Amino acid sequence: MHRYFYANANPARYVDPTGHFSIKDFGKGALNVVAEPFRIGADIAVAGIATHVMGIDSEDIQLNSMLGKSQQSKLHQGKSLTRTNLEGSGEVVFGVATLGIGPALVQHYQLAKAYNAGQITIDEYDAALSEMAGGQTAAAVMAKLGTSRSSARASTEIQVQPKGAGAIRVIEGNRGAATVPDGPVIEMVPNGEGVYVPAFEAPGAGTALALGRQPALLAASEPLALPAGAQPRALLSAGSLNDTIASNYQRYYNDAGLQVVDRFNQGNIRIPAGMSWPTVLGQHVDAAARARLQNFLSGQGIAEGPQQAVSVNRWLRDPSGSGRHRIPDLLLRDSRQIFDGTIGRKALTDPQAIDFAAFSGGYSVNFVNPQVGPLSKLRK
Amino acid sequence: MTSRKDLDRRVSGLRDRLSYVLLYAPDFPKEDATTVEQEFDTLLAQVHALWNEIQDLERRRWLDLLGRELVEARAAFLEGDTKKGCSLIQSAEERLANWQSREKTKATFIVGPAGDAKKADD
Repeated sequence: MHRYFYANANPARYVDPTGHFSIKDFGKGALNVVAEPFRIGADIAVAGIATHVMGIDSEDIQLNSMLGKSQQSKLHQGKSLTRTNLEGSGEVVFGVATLGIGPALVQHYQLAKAYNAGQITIDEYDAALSEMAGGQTAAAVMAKLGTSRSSARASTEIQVQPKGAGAIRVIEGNRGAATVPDGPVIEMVPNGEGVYVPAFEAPGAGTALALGRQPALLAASEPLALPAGAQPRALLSAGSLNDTIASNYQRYYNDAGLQVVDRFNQGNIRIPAGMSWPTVLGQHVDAAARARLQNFLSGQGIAEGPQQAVSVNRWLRDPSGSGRHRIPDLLLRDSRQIFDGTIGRKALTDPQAIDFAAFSGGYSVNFVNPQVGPLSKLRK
Repeated sequence: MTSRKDLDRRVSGLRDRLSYVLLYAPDFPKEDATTVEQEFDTLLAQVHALWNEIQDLERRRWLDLLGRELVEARAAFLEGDTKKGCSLIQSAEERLANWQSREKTKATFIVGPAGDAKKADD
């Protein structure tokens, strides 16, 4: 084992010195190592594996799916893992390409941790990575491990056949189910205290979540709607209220994604001349999800507005006075989170994400994709 | 007097709701506890409120057309004709876009007394 792998360092300032970011970027602020697994099930699994098996500090993990976050809070007994990581030139992503997490991945993580703690130099980092692969370059090591510094996005594309047109594709989201490999899946089970742990750590635990297997996973993702007539602020803490709103928004987005494909397949949605189908379908998904979110908020008596704790589709102005603005779909002030839906691919290094973070004063930015589960609903 | 920003905001809300109806009508999610009648009542009330806000006749024409199509769309959904309902909703969306962009309405053809038709720009 390399001598730096288990450095007990503060990982809050993470950079990965050999990848897509130049040397001058290293000192620019809070750059995180982000585990970006591929879908909800993987989120939960990775969170559990990372914390319980790999020994990765929980605050180093940011899970991008909100349902993952919901489970994540269970995993970590309410400890919030989301953090702002866009101050500076961008994020450093420690992408987890599959669920096949092995010792080498842990080693890579520990190396990054040691570097960020100032315990090793860039050269030592590179040399150690190279050593891991018998003299190969750091890039080769990462390729072998399935890790990267940019988002590990490997979207699965679902074939959709519209009427009267050639085959087109609907992007399922950034975490396609097909990227979850066949083979053993570590099951996460509640340990009796509401904390999910790998099954082998909790013998005799309750019903397992078959992580990575969609039907069971989706069934396990029950909506978090409030009871009719409930007073949310009295009923829920600010954190859980935000979780509820965010989870519902993700759910509405998923559902709208399915609906738009259904309606399109049935020939009920036309694409106006001069517009691309992703634009048109994406606009409808965005809009319908927002409408349902507004329904939910008003139904629960949750105030929405530009100065309220919850803002839906409101202007976010550049505080520097440039006159520029962005309009995120959902902004949660109490938890300092922004959610923006897209059917395409967006990275946290995109200008839009950087603006969201900058204009909001450092809120955490989350892109919401329709995580389309039941593939049988789509016409292949 | 409603500000331009406020009007835009209301139009945006109307557009969101049109998309919601386009994707879900007539079978709305159970948890949303709504119906075709309720949704179209809301839509028409929003259109009516917009109509009252503006004095420009040209722009009111777009809203007249929009409202008419919404009434037809409601009837189509209630009769089970989802295809027609969706088509009308999308027409209504285009009317709303035209309203917002202040595009002029214009005749595309003119019908003569004997029933003959010719293009308006001939």
